This record gives sequence, structure tokens and C-alpha cells, in this order.
Amino acid sequence: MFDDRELWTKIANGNADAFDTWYRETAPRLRVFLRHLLGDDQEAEDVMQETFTQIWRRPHRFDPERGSPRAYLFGVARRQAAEWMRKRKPTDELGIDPPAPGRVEIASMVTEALSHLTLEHRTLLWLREVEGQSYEELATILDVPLGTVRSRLFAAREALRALWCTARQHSGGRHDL
Amino acid sequence: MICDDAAEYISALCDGETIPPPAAQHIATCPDCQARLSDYLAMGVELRRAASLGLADAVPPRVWTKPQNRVATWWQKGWGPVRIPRLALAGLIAGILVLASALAVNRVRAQNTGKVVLLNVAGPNLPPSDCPISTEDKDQAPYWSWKIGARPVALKIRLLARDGGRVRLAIRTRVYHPGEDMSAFTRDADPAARLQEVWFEPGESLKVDVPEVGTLTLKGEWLDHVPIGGLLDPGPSELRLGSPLLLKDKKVVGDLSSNIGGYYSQDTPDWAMAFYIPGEGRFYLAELPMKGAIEAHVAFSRISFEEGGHSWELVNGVPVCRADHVWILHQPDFKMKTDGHVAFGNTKLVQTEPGVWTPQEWPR
Repeated sequence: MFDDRELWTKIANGNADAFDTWYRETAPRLRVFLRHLLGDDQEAEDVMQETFTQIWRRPHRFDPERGSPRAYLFGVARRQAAEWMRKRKPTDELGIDPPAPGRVEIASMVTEALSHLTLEHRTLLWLREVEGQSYEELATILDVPLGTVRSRLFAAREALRALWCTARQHSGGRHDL
Repeated sequence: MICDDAAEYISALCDGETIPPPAAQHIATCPDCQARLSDYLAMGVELRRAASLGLADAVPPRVWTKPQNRVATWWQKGWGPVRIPRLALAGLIAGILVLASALAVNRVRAQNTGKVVLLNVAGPNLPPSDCPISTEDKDQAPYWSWKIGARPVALKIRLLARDGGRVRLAIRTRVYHPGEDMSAFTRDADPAARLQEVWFEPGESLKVDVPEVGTLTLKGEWLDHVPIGGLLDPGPSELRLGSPLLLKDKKVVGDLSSNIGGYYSQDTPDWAMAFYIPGEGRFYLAELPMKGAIEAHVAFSRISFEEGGHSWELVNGVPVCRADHVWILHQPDFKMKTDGHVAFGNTKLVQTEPGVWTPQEWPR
């Protein structure tokens, strides 16, 4: 791991090597997040690249006092994804890409159910469960009051659980993860 | 505590938070809440498992070019080459040359088209005064006379030559003793007069040191005509002449334009103008009645009077004065020591009896 503050100082000074290190460290996780947010591998790739490009061009927009660089990265990516979805044609439907060979397990019932949640619920659950973002970081990323984070997380979990339980009933089993 | 109240605390438990004891006790004994906790945990595990599968894919390598700020880019672009057709470049250069030459020609013309130098002269005890000198009339030689202490000073400037935008001036000066005859100076015939020649460029200031007199300051500008001088309307006590011609019985007998530099004005009623015409004698001209003088009628720029059985008229290029009459003292028998030249000057009037003035001798 690297020291966030030291690394960001280099990035802010235009150090391409430092930024590339950070890119290789964080891009895989960001891409997975965006895949589940957008439901499309190519769009996730494009938004990810656009996110890194934007941060590289204007690194001074990041305020270290407001959270970690990784939280800032996911916050920018979330806004980019929301903008991407806003521009998407109304007829386009959100959905996970058909599972490619070797990635069948990704298309489990939970991830399938996740794709039917709202963008905010998906973002909250992923950043909390997968990225381990704290309540404070989530409040910054989503630009909501800290007290709201816990209640919205609960709402997101309940929504996902309801979809998951329905899917389980249809499939007749409980432990099909 | 009911399950609905405990549900949000189950979510908080999954986030690593602590919860109130009643909620913790309820969750420990409630199968539904335990099922919810189990589902929440399983969902988290499944999400992390799915994410782990996606992390196996490598991200494409990228080259991060250093961002350049906009000002630097413009600066670099400004110094960069630009492609321009040869004909356009030739046209551009030709345009610049035409404009530059037109500018130069206009500048030269502005300096050279003038035919008159409006000279401004100032010196010790001599207030600044304007006097036009034509480059085409070499006979013009403006004349100044004033005093430094008790000693009269005479100054005459003549334009000798012109070289482009500058002129060659002859400055003749002499400081006289009180009562000394100055008539020879007005004819440029005083061998004791000091002569200095200088190059003067109108638009600039030139200082000329004159022994006994001090420093004269010359300024000037090019004009394309002899200015009429001041306002067309004469001042309340102003008496002035402009290129005057003296007519006797409607025939020109004297031309004073060269002697007064085209235009002469005085604003001191107790002074008289004086001029001498060879063969016609001496004339004093004043706004105050002089002993032996006759009243002359003034009509705009003409002064007319009858004297000695002849009609006289002094025709001017400017209005003479505001009054409808002036006084003329004609001395037909007077002859200057060196006859044959027109002369012009002025002299002080002395009140010799109530309401009657007598001019001091002129030339002195």
C-alpha cells in the first residue's frame, strides 16, 4: 500500500508515474463497481477511463480534508455514471450483460437483484459492502447528511433482500449463492 | 421492541456499528430478525465474492500526458509557425509598405506644405509674441522694440533660407543708449547691430544667447497661410494694421506689409504707430488726438482722410479698431536721414496740454 497523502501530493504536482501507480491500484475495483452500476462492460470501461482522465487533468479538485482519494475516485465515478445514464436513450434498459463463459457465477441471484435497485441503492450497497467505505465517506460521496446514510443503507438492504427472496422463492431454494 | 424497530439496527450491525441493548436482546431471541441478519450478511458476502471475480481482469495500460495549462499552450502556439500562402504573404508585406510610405509622405507633407512660420519670440522684458513670417516673401522682417532698464532694444528677425522642415534665421539686435537714433536699424543699415544666424525647426524650441540682451526663446509652427491674427473683432482699445497699403488719390504710394510682418497690433492708447513713405513724409496714427492731427474716418478695415488737397486711404487686411475714427498726423516735409526706404515703428505719446498729445520723435 502507499501513503495516500504523499501519493496525492505527487499526483497534484503532475507526476505521471504516481498517477499510473494509483490507476493500476484502483482501476480494477472501480471498473467492477461501474459494471454493476451501469450493467454494461463497455460503458463501465468508458466511464472508468473518463473518470481517471478527469481527475488527472484537475487533481486539485480533490480536498484531502474531505476523505480519502479512493472515496473521491468513487464519488467522481458515481457522478460520471449518473450523467452517462441520464444521456442514455430512454428505450435502453438497464441489465447485467449476459454472462460470458467463465463468468457465470457473477450472474448470481444477488447480483441480478442488485441490477434492479435504484442507482443510489446500488451505489450505497456496493461502496459499503465491497469497498468498505465508512458512513462519513459515503455521506461525502453521495453528498447527503451523515445521519441519512444509515437509514438509506437499511432501505437499500431491504430492497435487495426483497428482490432476492422473491427470486429464491421462484427458484425454490435458499442457498443458491 | 418489535421486528420493524429492530430491522434498521440489524443493518447497522452489519456495518460494524453498536446498537442499543433492547435491540440487541430482541435480535438474539427473534428468529425473523436473525434470518434478516443472516440474509444481510449473505448479501454482503455474495457482493464481495462477485466483485472478487471481476478483479481478475487487467485494466488497459495508459499513458498519462502531463496536463498543460491554457496560457502556456497559447504562448507556445503563438511562437509556433503558421502556414500562409505566398501570395497572401506578399500582399500583406505590400500592404504594410503602402501604409508606411503613405504615413511617411503625409508626415513630410505636413511639415513641408506650410509656407508660413508662425514665430513666437520671448526674452528678458519681452513678453511672448507671435509673428508670422512667409517663406516666399524674403523682404518680411518682423521688428521688435522694447527697453531693458533705460536702454532701448531693437530686434529684427529675417528668414534667409529654408531647408525642408527647418529655416535659417538672421537675428539682428542692438541695445541703444537713450535718445540714440534707431532709424538705421529698421533699414538693416546699422553697422553696430549684432547679427546671428541660426537654424530653427518649427515645432521645437530654440534658445539664442544675445550679448547685452540675454536669452531669446524662439518657438514656432508651420502654417499654410498668414493668420489674420487674433479675433476678427478688435479689442476695446486695440489698434491694428494688417498688410496695409497707403493710397493717395486712389493710387498706391506705399506698401507697409513687409515692414510690419503682415500684421501689427497694439493695445496701448498712449502709443502711436508711425510710418514713413519716401516722397510722402511721415505719418503718426493714434486713437488719441495729437497736436496738429486730423480726424480720419474708420470703416471696418479702411482709414480715410482728406489732407493737403488729396484723398488718402490706408487699406488693411483686418478691421482697424472699434472706434469710427482715429487721428492722423501727417508731416509731408519730413525726410529720413537715409531716404528711399519705407519704415514702420511706434512711439509713445506725451500729453502736452489737456486733451492733446504729442508723439515722441520717431525714429528715435
